[in-house]
Amino acid sequence: MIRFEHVTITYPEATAPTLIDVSFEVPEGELCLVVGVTGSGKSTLLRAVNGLVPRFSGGVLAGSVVIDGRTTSEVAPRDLADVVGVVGQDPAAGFVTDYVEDELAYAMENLGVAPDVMRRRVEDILDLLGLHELRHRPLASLSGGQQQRVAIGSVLTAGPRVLVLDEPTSALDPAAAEEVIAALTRLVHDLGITVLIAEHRLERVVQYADRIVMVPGDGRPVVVGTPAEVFGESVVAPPVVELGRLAGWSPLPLSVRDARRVAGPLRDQLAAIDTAVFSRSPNSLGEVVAITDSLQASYGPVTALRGVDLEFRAGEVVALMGRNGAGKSTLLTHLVGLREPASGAVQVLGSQPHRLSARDVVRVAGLVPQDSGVLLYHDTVLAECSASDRDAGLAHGATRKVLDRIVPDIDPLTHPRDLSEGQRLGLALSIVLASEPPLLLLDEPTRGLDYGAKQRLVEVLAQLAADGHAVVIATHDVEVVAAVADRCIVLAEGEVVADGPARDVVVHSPVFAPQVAKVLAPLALLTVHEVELALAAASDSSYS
Amino acid sequence: MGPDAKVAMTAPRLLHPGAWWLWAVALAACALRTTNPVLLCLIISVAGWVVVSRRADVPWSRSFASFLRLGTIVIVMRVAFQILFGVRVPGTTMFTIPEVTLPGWAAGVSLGGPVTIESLMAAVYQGLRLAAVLACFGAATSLCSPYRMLRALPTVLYEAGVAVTIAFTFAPQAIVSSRQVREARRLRGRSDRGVRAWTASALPVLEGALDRAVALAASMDSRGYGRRGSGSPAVRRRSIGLVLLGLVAIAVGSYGLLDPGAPALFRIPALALGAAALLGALIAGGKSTTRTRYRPDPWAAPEWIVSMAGLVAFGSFVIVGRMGSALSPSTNPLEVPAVPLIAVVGLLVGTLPAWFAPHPPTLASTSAPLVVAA
Amino acid sequence: MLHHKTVVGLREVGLGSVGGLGPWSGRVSHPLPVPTHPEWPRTVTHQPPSIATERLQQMRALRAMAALLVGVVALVSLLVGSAATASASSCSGSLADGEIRVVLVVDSSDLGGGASATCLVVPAGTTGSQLLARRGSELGTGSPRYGSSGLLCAIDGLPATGCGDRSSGGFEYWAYFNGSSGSWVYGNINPFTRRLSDGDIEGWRYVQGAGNGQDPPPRIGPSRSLFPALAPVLPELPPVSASSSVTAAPSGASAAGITASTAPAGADVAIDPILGATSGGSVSTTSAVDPVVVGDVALASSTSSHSSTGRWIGIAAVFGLIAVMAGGAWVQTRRSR
Repeated sequence: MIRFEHVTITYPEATAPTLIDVSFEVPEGELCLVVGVTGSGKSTLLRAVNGLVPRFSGGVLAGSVVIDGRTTSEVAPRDLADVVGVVGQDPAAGFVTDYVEDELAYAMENLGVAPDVMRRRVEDILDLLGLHELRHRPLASLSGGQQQRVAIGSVLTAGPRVLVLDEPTSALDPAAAEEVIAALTRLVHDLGITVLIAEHRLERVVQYADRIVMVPGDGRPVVVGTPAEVFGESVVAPPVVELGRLAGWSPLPLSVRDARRVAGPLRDQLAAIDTAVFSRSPNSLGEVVAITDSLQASYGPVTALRGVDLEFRAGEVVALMGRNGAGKSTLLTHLVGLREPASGAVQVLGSQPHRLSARDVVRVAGLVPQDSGVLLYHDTVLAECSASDRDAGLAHGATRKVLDRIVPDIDPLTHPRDLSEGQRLGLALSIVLASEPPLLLLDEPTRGLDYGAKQRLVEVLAQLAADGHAVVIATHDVEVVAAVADRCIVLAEGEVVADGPARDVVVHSPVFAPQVAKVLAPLALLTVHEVELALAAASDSSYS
Repeated sequence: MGPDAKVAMTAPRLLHPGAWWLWAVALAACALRTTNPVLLCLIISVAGWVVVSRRADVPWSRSFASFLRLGTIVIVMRVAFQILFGVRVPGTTMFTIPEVTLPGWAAGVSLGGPVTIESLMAAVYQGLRLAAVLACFGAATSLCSPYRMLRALPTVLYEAGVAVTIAFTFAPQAIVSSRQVREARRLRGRSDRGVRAWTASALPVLEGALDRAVALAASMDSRGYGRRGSGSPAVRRRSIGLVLLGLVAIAVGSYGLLDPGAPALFRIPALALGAAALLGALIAGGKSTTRTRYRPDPWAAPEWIVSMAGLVAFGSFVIVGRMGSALSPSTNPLEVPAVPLIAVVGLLVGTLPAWFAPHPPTLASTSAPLVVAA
Repeated sequence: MLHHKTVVGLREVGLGSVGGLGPWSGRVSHPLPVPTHPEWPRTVTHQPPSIATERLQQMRALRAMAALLVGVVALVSLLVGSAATASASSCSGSLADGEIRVVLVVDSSDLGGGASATCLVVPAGTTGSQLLARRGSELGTGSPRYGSSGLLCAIDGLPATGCGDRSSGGFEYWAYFNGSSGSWVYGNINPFTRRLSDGDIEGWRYVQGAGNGQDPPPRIGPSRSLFPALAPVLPELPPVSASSSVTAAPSGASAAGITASTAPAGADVAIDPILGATSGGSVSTTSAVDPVVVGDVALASSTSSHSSTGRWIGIAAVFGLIAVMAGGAWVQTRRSR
């Protein structure tokens, strides 16, 4: 169905090709997962499937991409619209209408589908993706996850035989992500659609994948194979695979279900471990950095926050979780003073952030927004770093130092727009982290980051917390929450529904529990790292 | 007019984008025909009144204020340029700034010198005219998103593809982009106010807007926008040629209508030629494209009222323009601008959409379908 | 004799200045559009050939009558003026410190006006546009009208409407010339910044042309003889056109500081008046001034003040309307919040 033949893609003004001599084939009806580290060229590969690369990006594509018997160099993307549906990384950027229903119907209108068929298909897709309540809503009023579902729906309605999705669940809460993945597997199984997905959060999709295309980056050859083959030696692997490697299970389990079947002995071995040693004791926390007092916020007629009372202390990492549209981002923008409370109050270090000047705000609170690219507007990474040093009054090179910890080996002369999503996020993160504000807020920081970059981020955040910063991350990524958060707040419909130690909140939730916790339940271990420590402790105690 | 028609008049729905754009373009054409500050102020308030009365609960509906701000900047800049570089129109001197003697090759340019009240008023009038045109454009984007206009375009225009997309969506994208850039500046600790912030964020705003427009074009293309129908390449080429001819002729014709000094050939004949060419392209292209509509926008009584209201306003300006010089009050010698009653009445007719256009659906009433008469 | 011939000339050629009448109020004394035959380049004034249609001819008859009337009035005033004493700073007298003598030629014959040359004594450093305004006030022909861009629209009220508009024959506008070198040079110079010096000759001609140096210059050559004779006579510059041969000004006029060039001998129309005489307003109007014109002016000014009040009322009404809309909009916005 999809065939890449010796494809080499070089962007204009790039020193080296992004993809070198890539050859693979995806048969009809398979779910194929594209994995790779941040910036390795996954998005390029996906966009080459229907010819958006190089037609809209510039650059040169050598070799050929054949899709359903048609070579993309001879056929324009628009004439492949009935064969390939493409959903980009940023769903909002791809919307071409204003309302949900219109967006769903758009591709069908272009294909000339009969009106009655259109009506029926729109209804089907609304049900399939759980969008029926949103059908008359303006797209701009939707939350990120809702937008992502609409974007997927808008290409599904055209009835394509190949679906290409670039990180379709990266903006979704765990429940919504599962819904989307479930819908995709249904499409593969029932309708025989070929699906090509790029995804960093392998734990969400790997068990459904028939084939893995591993893009290692740096010009090394692409590895293609079944999940078990590829993950035997892959550097990127979901936690369940890592756990399997640690425990020496063979074959490697790819799903929680597979792992639980073989995890009996491991659970027994770890049963005696007291998980309390992994939790930081509450008295290591510092003073209160920020307070919200019956904070209310609204966007027009929609109430986003309803009386939120919270406090954030120095030295803790707080995870803000909740469904898409629950009010997480709204809370963060109030904490950094971008918006003025409708009622109630926000205080950061005794001052109201929306009253402070821009220069003063960054010294008390820093926010990395969801679309991190908006923070960047210089020509080179180097210029961004030195501008950031200037803005925050730091020593020269301070930002660069943080950057090297999060995303090493970034070419300082690259244009920020030419960085991959993950690298760009890393750069934005570094700019905000560099001025070391007492209150650090991150909105979906792990979106687009590979496991390695996430691990480095986790280390940086833990270090910042240890240095006395209050760190708040709004995220859907339960693995990151498991790895770094001390405290977890769950928001629903603008209200706080849970607030407590991360371990307690996360372990007992079917939605928010990380893979390791699911495998080892009822044990309250959250990460592979903790299991490793626990195993070491257990073997110590058994020897002594 | 049965009960169904009554429902169509009053039920919340979105008006046909063509009606809003026709109304707004007609108001803008009024503004272009006059430098009378009273009429220009009235045009801006008519546009604002209709926007406030009939805008939807959506982000783009806030763009009117941005356009007003832009208009204010235009006026201020126009006056500043007049003070610094403007021609030294004689009259009542308000103040004198030091005059710079320029070398011979720049003999036509003056820098500094006495600033007269006449020259300042002329600058204000001209700035106000541009501000009024911007307000009309802002009203159109607030009342109806460019995406909807894009969808309502006849299929033959799809041949222009990416260019049309970018042209239609660049301004609204720039507004979204500017908001983001200002927030981002604040997050980086830079001032989000003042002249420096404006100039420093201009490039990122334009870059961001262009990026978005290109991303949009890519998305539209990959979803079949401008798809080749069953028509042969020859038919396509012919319809592209006709579209280009039609657009050029209409552009020339519009220029002729707006510039009273243009040769007569540039007016009605050019418009007629353009319309004929586009009609030919519609017929030729209509056969080869296979596009369908999900819920076609109806063109019912409210659409007629809105578009006619705009045309009546424009007509009143044409009549006043024929009758005398009330549309372009003299600034040298300075005179009190006349208020032509016909033009005022015409503009008041232009406010009719504030009452006769249907209300847009609100977020609260999402259960109601957007379009009743489909 | 002279009068008679002028009258004849007017009738024969059938052209005169109508548009120029209004602004040339009763105080008009000297300059007059005096029509003569176009083929004579030597003459001071020219009129373009006429188009023959009946209606036009009727109009022309009216214009001719009007021109005649004005001509008579002007001649009378001229004579009166010549009888009056010249002021100290008259063009023919000696100059005070910081004063210069300049000649300004204005040619509106394409609009049915005429061509005239006026000698003025102005402070040194006067700009081209100030000179034009000064001429208007001294001749009583009103200030020139400018467009909002600063473009000169009308001199002596001609043309009545429009400003540098495009027409089938190109642009119709007041072209600016400098004749100090003895020939007309098309001015790319800004009249607002051009500073005059003693002996300069400035020219404006209403033309229909391309808007560049190809456009025709005023029909009066920039001759030194346009300056009235002084005790130390200004050196005469070579005339521009080969056919030009300047003759001395007639005696009667020169006494009053008026120069006039005459047509070649043998012409049946003798020319004259034009010109510019007097700078310092040395000519006073007499009660003999045409009462109709005066009446017109009075009427015009009273209507204008009346309509100005009316206009303010209209403006107040419109802004009241705007205020109502703004208030309504404010209320609506608050309610929707």
